[in-house]
Amino acid sequence: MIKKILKLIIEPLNYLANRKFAEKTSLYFSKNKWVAYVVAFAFTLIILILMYIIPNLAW
Amino acid sequence: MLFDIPIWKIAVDAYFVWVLVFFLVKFLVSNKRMLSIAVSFIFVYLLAYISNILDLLISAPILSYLSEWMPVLMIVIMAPDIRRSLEVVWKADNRNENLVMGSEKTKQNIVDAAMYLSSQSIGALMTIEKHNTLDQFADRAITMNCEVSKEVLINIFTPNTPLHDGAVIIRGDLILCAGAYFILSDNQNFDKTMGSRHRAGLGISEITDSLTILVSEETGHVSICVEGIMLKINDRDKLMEYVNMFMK
Repeated sequence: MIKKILKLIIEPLNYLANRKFAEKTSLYFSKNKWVAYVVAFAFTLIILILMYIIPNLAW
Repeated sequence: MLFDIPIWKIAVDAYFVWVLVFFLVKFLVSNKRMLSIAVSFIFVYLLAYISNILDLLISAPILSYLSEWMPVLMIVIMAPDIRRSLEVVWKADNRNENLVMGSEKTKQNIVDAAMYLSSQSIGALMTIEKHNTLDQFADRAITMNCEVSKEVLINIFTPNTPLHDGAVIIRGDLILCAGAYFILSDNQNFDKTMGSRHRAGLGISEITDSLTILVSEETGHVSICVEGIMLKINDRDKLMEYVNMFMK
């Protein structure tokens, strides 16, 4: 656990962009085609909220 | 009206954003190498954002400069992967609805040719088109447009002839072209001892719904590639069964 945290601090790029993460994600998306639609929808909602709702809110 | 903006405008905007985001998501997840680079890029953008907010003297200008150049760097470094991912993204859109599969005679000829080439240890690569068009590969190959026959296939793959290198693309009962070159598979689990012919066969099966019959020139083994999977088949009946199943 400590080794993992240390690796994240010392080599964050290597830790985050390692191939296993990409492989797992890619495999999950290819097995569950609907996830791409859900993720796209979630991102769209976030963008819409950021662009339309938040700038127009009166604080 | 929502915040003085017509609802229909927001709906149209939302639809366009969704289309773009969906394209981007499919584009990134279609290739694990692209995805791993994208993650590291997002990390750098995040660092740039944090350093800008904290107004850090040294890292803020460096990271903002880096984040400006990153898209250009990504295109240069990842050019082959981008091309490959785009092909996967458009895979569903290049479907040929007027599908014509080969006749019984064509199937027999393909299997006979594969078994003969195998017995003589002559390397061969035959790709049978299904829904996804292979026109982009056929355009750069030698056009044949001749009927499939065992003799023509054997003649094409005979060593030291002009057409023996590359793949034959079969559409229905026709040999569309010979000498076609495919994008090689970058499958990391692929046996390193396999040659580029096998890698090409696997590559085309990963990006299209075609079936590829491969004959190894070293061992004479017959393999088929479909949906990114390679199966070794040395039995004529088994090969016929797969071809029949595919060309239904």
